[in-house]
Amino acid sequence: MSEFITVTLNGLTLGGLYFLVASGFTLVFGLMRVVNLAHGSLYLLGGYIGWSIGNATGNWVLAVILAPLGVAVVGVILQQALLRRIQGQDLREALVTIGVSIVVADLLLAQYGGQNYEYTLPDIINGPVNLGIANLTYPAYRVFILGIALVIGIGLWFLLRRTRLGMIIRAGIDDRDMVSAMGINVQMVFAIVFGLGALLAGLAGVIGGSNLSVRPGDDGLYLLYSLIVVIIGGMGSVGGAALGALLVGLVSQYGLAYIPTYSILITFALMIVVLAVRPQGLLGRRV
Amino acid sequence: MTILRVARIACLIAIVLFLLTFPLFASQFLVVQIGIQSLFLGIVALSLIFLAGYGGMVSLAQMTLYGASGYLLAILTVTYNLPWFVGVIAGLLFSTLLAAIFALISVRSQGIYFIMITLAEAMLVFYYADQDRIFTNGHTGINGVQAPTVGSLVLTDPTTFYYMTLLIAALVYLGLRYLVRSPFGLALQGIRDNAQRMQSLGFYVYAHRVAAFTLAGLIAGIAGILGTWYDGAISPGSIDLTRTINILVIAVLGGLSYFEGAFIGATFFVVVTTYASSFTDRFNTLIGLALLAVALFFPDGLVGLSRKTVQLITRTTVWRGRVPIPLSSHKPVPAPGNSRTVASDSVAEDEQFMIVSVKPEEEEKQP
Amino acid sequence: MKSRIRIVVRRRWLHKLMLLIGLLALLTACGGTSTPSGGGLSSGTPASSSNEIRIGALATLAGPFAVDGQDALRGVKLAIAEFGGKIGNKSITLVTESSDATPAVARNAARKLVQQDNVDLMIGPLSGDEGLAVRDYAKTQPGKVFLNGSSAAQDTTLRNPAPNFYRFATDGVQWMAGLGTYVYNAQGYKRVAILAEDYSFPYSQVAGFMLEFCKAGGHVVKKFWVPIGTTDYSSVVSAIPTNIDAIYVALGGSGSINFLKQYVQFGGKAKLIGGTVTVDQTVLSTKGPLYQRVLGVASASPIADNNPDSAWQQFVHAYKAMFPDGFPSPSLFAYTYYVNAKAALLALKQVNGDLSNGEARLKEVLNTLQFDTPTGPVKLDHNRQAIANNFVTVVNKQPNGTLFNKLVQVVPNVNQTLGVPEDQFLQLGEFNRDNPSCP
Repeated sequence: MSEFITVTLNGLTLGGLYFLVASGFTLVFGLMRVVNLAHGSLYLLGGYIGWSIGNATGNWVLAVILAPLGVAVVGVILQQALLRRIQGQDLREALVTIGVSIVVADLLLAQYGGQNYEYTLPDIINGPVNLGIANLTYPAYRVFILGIALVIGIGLWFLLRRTRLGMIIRAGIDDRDMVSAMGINVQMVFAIVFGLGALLAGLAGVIGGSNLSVRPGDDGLYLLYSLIVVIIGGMGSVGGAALGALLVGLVSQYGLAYIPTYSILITFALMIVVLAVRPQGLLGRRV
Repeated sequence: MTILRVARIACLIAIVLFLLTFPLFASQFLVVQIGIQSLFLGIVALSLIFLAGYGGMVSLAQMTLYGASGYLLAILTVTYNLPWFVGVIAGLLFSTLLAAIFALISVRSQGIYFIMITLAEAMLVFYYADQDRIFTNGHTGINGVQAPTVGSLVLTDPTTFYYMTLLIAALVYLGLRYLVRSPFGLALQGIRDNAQRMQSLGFYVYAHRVAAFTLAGLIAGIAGILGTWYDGAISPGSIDLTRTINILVIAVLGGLSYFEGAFIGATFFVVVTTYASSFTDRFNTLIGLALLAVALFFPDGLVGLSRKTVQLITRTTVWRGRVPIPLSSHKPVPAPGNSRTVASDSVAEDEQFMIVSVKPEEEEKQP
Repeated sequence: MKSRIRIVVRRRWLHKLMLLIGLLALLTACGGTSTPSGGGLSSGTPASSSNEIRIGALATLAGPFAVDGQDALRGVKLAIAEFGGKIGNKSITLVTESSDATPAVARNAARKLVQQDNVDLMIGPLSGDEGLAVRDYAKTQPGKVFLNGSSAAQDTTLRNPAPNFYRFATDGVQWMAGLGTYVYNAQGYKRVAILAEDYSFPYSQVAGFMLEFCKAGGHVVKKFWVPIGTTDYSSVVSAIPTNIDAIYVALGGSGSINFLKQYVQFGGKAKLIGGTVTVDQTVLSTKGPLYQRVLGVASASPIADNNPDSAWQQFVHAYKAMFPDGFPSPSLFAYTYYVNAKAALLALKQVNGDLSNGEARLKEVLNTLQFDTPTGPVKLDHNRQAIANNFVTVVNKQPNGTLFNKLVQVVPNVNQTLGVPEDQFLQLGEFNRDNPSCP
């Protein structure tokens, strides 16, 4: 029984991490119809920059704050310099982001090399914590991840539902031309949203990297997870990203615990089932 | 015969002669590593260009279908010791079947969704191949796959293999060029341009797409047989994310609307990856930058595709009121009387077409 | 209202097609050489120049084992430096190629080394699955000599060996010699669980450990086989039974670090036993705190960092002198590449650089070559597989704080079948997830 609880918690916390990664991805797509296939590289970039900051200053919190900002800047530059000129051409945008992801991944490999980088976590979130139920100890850091995911989730909800910017974003997702016709500077909104997406990716990179380690190959892996989560949850829907992340996290952990060899296939099978039954995703709009 | 036409024909003859005599003047390494690899990778890229440029479906599952036939060939000929033709036929059947299954799942989605779904399907097969110990032998893959000796043709000889691959590549290329002008091909292009309109004309849009995807699966499967014989083995490393993206890069670099682009892109890619590692470790950056350059500045065949894809998407997404971009930047072939272009540049370009008669207002039964 | 358009196609291209097919059919009928037994295309061997000897080295300079690959090349360079960079009056040219731990890339890289860069012999590859691919490629190049790097899947030489592929370092099963008995007797572990990645090299390692451990009376209660490249061990950690003495962990590099970290975070209490690459130099010198859990972990390896033997100390000294930016102590990869490179150079010296006649004399010498390595004497068995010493180690702390593997036992002259008669050993079958087993 205690194993089951632990595995469920693992699933929830992993889902939290996936939500962090996928939320930026889905936002950017929902508003700008850009599939940012460089999202994984932004994640990896965040992980490495965060490590460098943490290593140089000895302060992990500083890394968590600064690295996502750095990645956000990179994201905005990417969007303004490259994507803006080919706006509206989905395939070209996808190809550009693929090109960027290849270049960024290779440059990071050149700079940081092939080995793993470990974060040094502050002691309060490092190590086991007693949960009180069934006498279980559980890593404090994973609880922390879940906490951050909840905070970010609520923050995004608040942003989208209760602020003017959020209103503009939601309107833009529904009908971009109309928004532009109402006199709102759509380009500015795009830049902000892309920067936000990159920020979330960078944050996920620091948080995820602190959990396990930062290494080459994580970019492709987390891009794939983002895709799966967003396909299941529905493109453009932040709520969908949450739901998808939860499902994927739980399914993959149960799979790993009980059928380890083929666990990854179960995750994909889930995705295929959702596609067959409801192609736009669980909470997505019919396109 | 204009000078332009003469020049084109001379060029064509020069290329053909070059390809035919390549093994006579090039070193064996060039023939094997560059020549043969470019050819079978080009065949996979052909299948992608067929789907993307003429069908409006950018599929990232082509290398997976390559792997499907390769794996079945390897399993049957090495693990079960069956004769080579059993392996080949089974491999081709399997890749075609798998393509049909993928198509049935994915074909209802369009544009960027389609890309992502095929990517996910490709990764699914990759992880399965990487994990399974019963058939695919996991990460190690299957070694010892040998090209057969057919009568007096010893296919393990590189020169013989080169000519066989060249022949097959030529046949596939010419076959596809013929196909896109056939009713099936024209209908497919029509579906690419405007699926709803085709549907209202009575075409079975989904069935058409599934059929096109399945055919592309067969083509990729052919390349899979060749590639597996070339390597003498198959492993999950042949169908991972990197190789999947490589085919896309090849097709884009070459030009997504042009079949020739498949081989040009493949040759360029193989040359860069083979030689770049001699003087820099950053050849991946080079490839990425090349892709960026093409996507940003030299869309060429890419522009046509992206425009057509946007057409497809804008019909069905929430961007109402967006004016469709004209499909073709080329002037249509002038025709007598009242005429209407059915499909796009690929037809208009070929000067061998002549519209001989037009009969307006005639009732016609749709195929 | 629909227009009907009749389209006539002039089939000029069809004539071209016929011509092409005809020409090709004509040309395909010519040519043909012998069929190689290893799969793939056969190839001619280009001639090499007479005033230099070209040695190719293949290591994983990309991908997850990039750091190991760098150290591997250091081993080769060290060996070449020992010979002053020349054999007789021929200078040695080293050509390196990179792979990324996938068999396909390794094969292409080997092909490039042999056929484009015209190397006279090749040393490599690094990882287990690549080794099987290179061995099969070697079969298509009978006129060239191939020596292993560090690839340690047992089947590379035990089953379907290639007559021109030499492995002067021991394999994954041999690398575990002594450990099973040691942890049972000296550390008192009777009940053990196993965690390893699901592919050929860990199968060899687990088998090597279990053959001794089960024979001594130990029990392996549960095995966890995780997909290669797993990073999240949380569910594995929570499923580890509590009534065991230790977990044998055969993960390499990044997997090992991830697992150890998560095991610590979950408050796991069982002790650890390490596979050869679980607590090796690359892991011990990683950046981050894994200190306390790693102290006291027993492992086995063909090298031991603090081996007091003078030959080993000299080797470490030479490594540190030539590579001040390398590891504190040479890794397994530096060592295995060094030994194989040295074997090649010794043989080359004995034949005075004679590579004629498909390198026949060189192969003859290599077949019976025996010499003293930094870890003791090495010789080959009939499958051209090394018989050499193995070491059982325990992780200890140096006065300056760095961790190292302290030598506790030397197991001399270990052969590929761990002392068991070969036919009996082969009867055990190929090692995989379920074989061997002693619950």
